[in-house]
Amino acid sequence: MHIMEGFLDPIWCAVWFVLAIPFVAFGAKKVIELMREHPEHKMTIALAGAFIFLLSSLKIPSVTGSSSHPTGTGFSAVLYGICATSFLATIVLIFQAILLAHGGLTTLGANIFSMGIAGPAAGLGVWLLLRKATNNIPVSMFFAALVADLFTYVVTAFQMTLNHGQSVTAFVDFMTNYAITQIPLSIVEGILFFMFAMFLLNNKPEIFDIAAGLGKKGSKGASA
Amino acid sequence: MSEEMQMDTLAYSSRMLKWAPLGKFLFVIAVLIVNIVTNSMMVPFVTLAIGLVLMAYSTNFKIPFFVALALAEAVLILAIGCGMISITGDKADPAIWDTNLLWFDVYMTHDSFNKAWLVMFRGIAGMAVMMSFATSTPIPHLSQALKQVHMPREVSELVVLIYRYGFFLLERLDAMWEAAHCRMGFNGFMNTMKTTASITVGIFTSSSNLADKAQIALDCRNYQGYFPIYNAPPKLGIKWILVTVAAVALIYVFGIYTEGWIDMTKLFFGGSA
Repeated sequence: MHIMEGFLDPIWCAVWFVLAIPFVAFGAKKVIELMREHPEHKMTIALAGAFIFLLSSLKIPSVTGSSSHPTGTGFSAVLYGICATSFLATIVLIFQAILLAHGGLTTLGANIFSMGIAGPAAGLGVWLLLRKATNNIPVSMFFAALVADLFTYVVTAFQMTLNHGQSVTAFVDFMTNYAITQIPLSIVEGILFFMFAMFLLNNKPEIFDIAAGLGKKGSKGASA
Repeated sequence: MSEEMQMDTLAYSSRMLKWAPLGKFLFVIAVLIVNIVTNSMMVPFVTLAIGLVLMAYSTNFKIPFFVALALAEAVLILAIGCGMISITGDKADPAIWDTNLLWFDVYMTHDSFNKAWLVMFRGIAGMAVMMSFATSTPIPHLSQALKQVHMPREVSELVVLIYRYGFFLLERLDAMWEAAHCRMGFNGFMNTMKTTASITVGIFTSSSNLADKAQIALDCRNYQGYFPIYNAPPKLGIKWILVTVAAVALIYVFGIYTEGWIDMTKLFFGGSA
């Protein structure tokens, strides 16, 4: 869920920017280092970013009757790592804000934090836990996508509450509003990535052996 | 014509194409910031006017259909968000509407209602300004201009590549989507999910293959690790900084002076609120 342009007061815009910058800067540093040492990975990294952009443009059915799109960040964090995801998500969020008016430039920091850092971190955490507990990749992917999506919305609701309302009631109201569409959407996104993982296991199983490899210098994990 | 081509064609035919991309970006960012700094409802109208004038000058208000759809969706999201802001008023203030509606605890106050309208106007004004920038600045120009602020070369190249390949993959997605639609692939919920998942895998696999092929193509052209650009966009000059500072100062002073001029609660609920 993008926070639209104009929704946050300047102080909160600044706070979220300050919180997001270290992750994005670290991610940028890692990606730049990788590109300098291995220029042959440039296309792969670009395609990884383009794939995130594409995922956020993918319309999936929503239980509320309309259609919506996945954030794709849980999947992205599993494959590329949190820092690379936050950096690539920043570029994608800028495109979405400028070209499609989804999100905004003053709210970019808040959107990066919720969609590019907090959500993916939660998704990756669940993925790592489940991968240790079970050997079932599709089930792990289901919960990683679901939790990443849900946590993104919890953080977005929190960001909105801090700016508008600053009360438990306001938080509950924002959460309730998002829950109508986002809980079903998260489940649907989980199912989508469950199937995606099953298809990938059949067609390109090696991708899961090198998951999150983009964050490692020189790793072949960039072959996404 | 593809969506990327539509945006590119529009931006390359803009009357503002020759303006310094960084200058335009600085101006847009500054206007967006001053748009949210004051609490005057007049400021978003000024911002909206700036955005509309720039769009009119740049492209005569021409925008691709898919962007118009995205804008309509954005306005809908804005309206829902503002509705939420209006009903989450401070309980310490007297309510103009206090009820339980479905599962919402509605507590609308004078301030929350005004704030919701202010945010709505800010959002629409911000969209107009961002759109004026998008329709006048090709992304490759912007990424090249970023080098002037010492952005690493790799970042600007990555921005262009993601932009190009993002829309390229979208075109492939559209083709697969259409083909699946013709094969009744979206008949029922589970069918839709299966089709969407298989299309996603198809795109993922083809993006991986595309990366390999693009790398080979680059190697064949003696790729040394960077893309040389011979047609650099105009640089950010002192004129842009002066114009931006002047505009921001004027809008800010105007905002301070006009704070409280428009009271949406009084407009909607009369003097009783």
